[in-house]
Amino acid sequence: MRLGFFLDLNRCLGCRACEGACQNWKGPGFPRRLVRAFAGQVRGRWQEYYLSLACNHCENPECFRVCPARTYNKRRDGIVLHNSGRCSGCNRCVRACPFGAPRYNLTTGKVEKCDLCVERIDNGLAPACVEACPVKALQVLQLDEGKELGERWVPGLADVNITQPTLRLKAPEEGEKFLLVG
Amino acid sequence: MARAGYLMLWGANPAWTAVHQMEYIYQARERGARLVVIDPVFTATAARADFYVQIKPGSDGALALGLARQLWQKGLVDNYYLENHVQGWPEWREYLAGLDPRELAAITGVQPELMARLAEEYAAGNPAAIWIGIGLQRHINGGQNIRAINTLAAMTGNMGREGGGVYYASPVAGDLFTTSWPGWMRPAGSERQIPVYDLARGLEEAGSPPVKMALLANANPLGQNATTQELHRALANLDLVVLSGQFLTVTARAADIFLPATTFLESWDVVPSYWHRWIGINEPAVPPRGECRSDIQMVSDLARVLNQMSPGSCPFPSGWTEEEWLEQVFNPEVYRLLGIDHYRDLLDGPRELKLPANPWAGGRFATPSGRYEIYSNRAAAAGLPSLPVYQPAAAGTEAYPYRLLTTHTSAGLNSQFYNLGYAPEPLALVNPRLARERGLGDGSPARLYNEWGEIIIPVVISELVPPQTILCHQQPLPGGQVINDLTPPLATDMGTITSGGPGIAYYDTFVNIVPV
Amino acid sequence: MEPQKWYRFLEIAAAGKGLVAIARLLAEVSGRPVVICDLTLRILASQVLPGNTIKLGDYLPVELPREAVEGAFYRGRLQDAGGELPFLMLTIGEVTLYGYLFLLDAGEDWEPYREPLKAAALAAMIEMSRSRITQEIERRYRNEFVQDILYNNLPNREAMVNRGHLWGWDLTRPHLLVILSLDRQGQQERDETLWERWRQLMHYHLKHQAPEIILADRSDQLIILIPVATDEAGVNKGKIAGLVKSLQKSTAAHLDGRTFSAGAGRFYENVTDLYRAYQEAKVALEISRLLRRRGVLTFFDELGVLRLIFNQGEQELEDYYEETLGAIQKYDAGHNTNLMETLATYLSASGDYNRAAEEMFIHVNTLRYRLKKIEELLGQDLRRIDVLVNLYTALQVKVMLGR
Repeated sequence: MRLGFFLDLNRCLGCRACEGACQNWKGPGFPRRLVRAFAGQVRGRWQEYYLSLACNHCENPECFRVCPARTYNKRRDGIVLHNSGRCSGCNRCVRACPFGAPRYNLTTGKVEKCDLCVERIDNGLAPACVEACPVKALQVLQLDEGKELGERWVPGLADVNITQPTLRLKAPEEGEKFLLVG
Repeated sequence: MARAGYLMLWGANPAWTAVHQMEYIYQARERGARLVVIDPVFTATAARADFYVQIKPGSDGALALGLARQLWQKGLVDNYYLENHVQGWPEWREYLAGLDPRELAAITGVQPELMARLAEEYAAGNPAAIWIGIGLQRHINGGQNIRAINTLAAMTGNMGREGGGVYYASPVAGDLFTTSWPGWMRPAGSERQIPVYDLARGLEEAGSPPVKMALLANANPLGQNATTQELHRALANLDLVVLSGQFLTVTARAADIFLPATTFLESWDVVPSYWHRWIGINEPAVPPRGECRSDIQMVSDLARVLNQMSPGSCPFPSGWTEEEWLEQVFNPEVYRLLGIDHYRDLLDGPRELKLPANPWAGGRFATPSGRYEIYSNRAAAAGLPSLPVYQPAAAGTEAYPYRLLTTHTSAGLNSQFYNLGYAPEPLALVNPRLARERGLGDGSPARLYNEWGEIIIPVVISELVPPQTILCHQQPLPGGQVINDLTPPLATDMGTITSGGPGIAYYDTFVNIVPV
Repeated sequence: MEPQKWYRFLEIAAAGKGLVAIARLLAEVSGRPVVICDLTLRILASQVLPGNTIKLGDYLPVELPREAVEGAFYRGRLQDAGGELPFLMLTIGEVTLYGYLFLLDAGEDWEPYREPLKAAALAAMIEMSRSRITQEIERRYRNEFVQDILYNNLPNREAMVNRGHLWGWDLTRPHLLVILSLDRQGQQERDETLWERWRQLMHYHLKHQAPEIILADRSDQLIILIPVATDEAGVNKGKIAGLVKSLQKSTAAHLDGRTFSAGAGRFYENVTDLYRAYQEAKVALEISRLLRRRGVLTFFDELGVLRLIFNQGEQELEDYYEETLGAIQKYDAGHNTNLMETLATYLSASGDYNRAAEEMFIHVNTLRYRLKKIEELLGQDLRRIDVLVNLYTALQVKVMLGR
């Protein structure tokens, strides 16, 4: 069993409730989740959507590989954890992660990262960000072998080939559009 | 709204301005409802729609008439409903028959075939709901436009159907608390109204007696009213301007005295809504910080001092605590509708008013005739056309040919919440044709100006904005510029009954634009 | 068939007497040779009658018949030194396939063997599913333990070494780490049966050829831990290469010429650092995939500059490619030449004119002429090492971008 976030780009409105909930639950500092807006040409069409991103709990986590202090581990359910007790604040993981998930906390001198609210997961609860989403755009999925639950990559997301995030996305769909002729 | 079979969002952008409602829209879509967005601007909501129709700003009424005409012509109306629950159908039918579809197409920019398609889709919606955005009324013909849209729901019998009908702001919940206010809230003969749309001139021209002092609370008129430059001068001419608030807004900076007001974290309050029927109570989390006081305390204390200076001069009660005020505000009718006997019962959680979920169920309306009044004598008495006939939209002049729309961003409400730092970069979005006409470069600054003021702002060229239109989202501008410097003192055509007076026709602002 | 015989087959299965006993009973009842194979056609049990001369190796040399003659019954012919031998085959298991049951020397007269074959297949399924469950449980525990090591979920070295002892592994010794993953054919979906066959094949192969090697699996990758005695890179890499080669051979032989790709991490003295080797091996594998390589073993520490470029965004790579090789591509497209291919061949021949010319079937002077043309187009000197490094890198980027 592997756990991963699922984000429906049709539903997400970029309201940042997830960010706020993360910060409320995890305490002061910065939210471990950030909402970024994407706008650009995708296969010849203009698209705008929001990418609410935290740690992608990658299958091949680069943070994990580059850490000289064995700070990271990956649980059997796939959650990548950062053990701040071992962290020396060297920032190698911060530079290695293509998604900017680990961030350096100036006040503690250590790195912090989304842990999928592991203490909530272990008690059968959804992560704080998922619970806060007013439009159910953000969810946690169980990824089973051989079953595709969504896109692995959309424009605006960093390269996923090496690290293989467990994040899955529902790509935006487009309706019919009538524009005034100028 | 989740039960709608067809959902038409007309000038509403809930993806940015009513996020909580989007879940119900998604639910409706998942049950198979088609989502249609009609808006001059291709909004974040339009991007999520099945069908988006762009129209010329201010021409909503003409589009509604085009649809109404199609409904009538194609026999897509609910005759039983029209006969039993609607007043003025024969007159309305006659008016529709006289309309020229090509003319309506020219006004709206929407071709007759597209109108026919929209009308057919709408009539087939089972049930069909329309959500009219608040922005729609910010025109000199906004009220008439909304009346015209409403007729679509009446003609198809959708008005009052569960999951159908028309959604708009409802004053019901808030009014419950004010209807039973005692006389001292509005002492007879002591009231003088200055129209909000032309506050600057109103202050200057008020005689017998002239206005000498302003006490401002819960407001940022130098940011949000019309002709803000003029208003700046008008306030500066007063002897004293006192403002109570929480943030150093542009108005706070211009005030002589700034009184720090408590936030919702520091004071008691009751929380009704214009969008739902739930009533909540706000309990302070902390005692007031520093010298902060709630507005009601400030006014009570002011009343006390006035009465010391001149006994009996001010009937407003003084000496009540915030909680004693709540005792007054919660009247027996509110308690009955909430099913509680004390406001403290709400500390367990908000409660829903036992009002009908569907106010027009069974085709009964709170009108003089008890019917839905397409033909309205009250409208006529108020100086409006009896029928929702089309009133021409405002138009630009040779000097100021381009319409300026100032809609909300997702990051704030009017001038509020921008201190959180989530605001996108302020930009003027223009149509490619306009950019060509005026030689505007993508990303380069431009000067927007008219007879009321000017601002300088970077331009972005976008096909998602209609031709001859400039879109500047409402948000703080660099260098302390205020977008409403450009807003003329124009009144909306309606608003007196529900809001005590007409509003500001913000979206009938016309400007010119040149590269800097 | 009389009910007693059905009963006897099931009795054998219930008593857990094994596949050999089932094969023997079937041979007895039918009077024909019997073979039971797993999904890779490896022989698990066989019963040849006295006097029969059929020689069977480890694997049954047959092509699996595709069309059933009736229900789950198939007929085919076994290629034998003594000529062709007709056989009757029945699959073992229905929903989950466990293997195949063969009745040899069964020609047109197969009808009477239907019932005994069915009974034997059922008994074999019971036997095989039972041992599968045992294996699966063992495999799951082994996977969990290996992954706990590789995902840093154990507190310290002592915990790893002690738990390793329970498995008979000496984790005080250094281990090399390699991961393997089957190459997919085109846009093909993941094939569960194929994966299962391959996993079992590799498991069997390693168990017999190199029992000291630890095998685990995760998703569609096999993880191999090889105990070594030295930290000498040359020796260790040679060991890995040799092992991968023999596994490739076995894969190709038993899975219709299929190939797999392999990635190897760096050498780490201590088992607590194996997690890094694991991540490195996966990066090496993913990069070789991006370069559209197949059947190749990639060492992480040989990735060199590729390791640095894979982190770049697609736009940066596009720009880099355009700047470096754009002129050649444009010229090729406009003049119907193949300068790009020439350059790639020249570089992959490490600058050996004769070898490159030979590979392209052109005269060595033609090659020289083309390389001169390339120098003119680029305005660069192909004898300079910085120029060559750039061109080599850009050619790799070209592959990565799928151009």
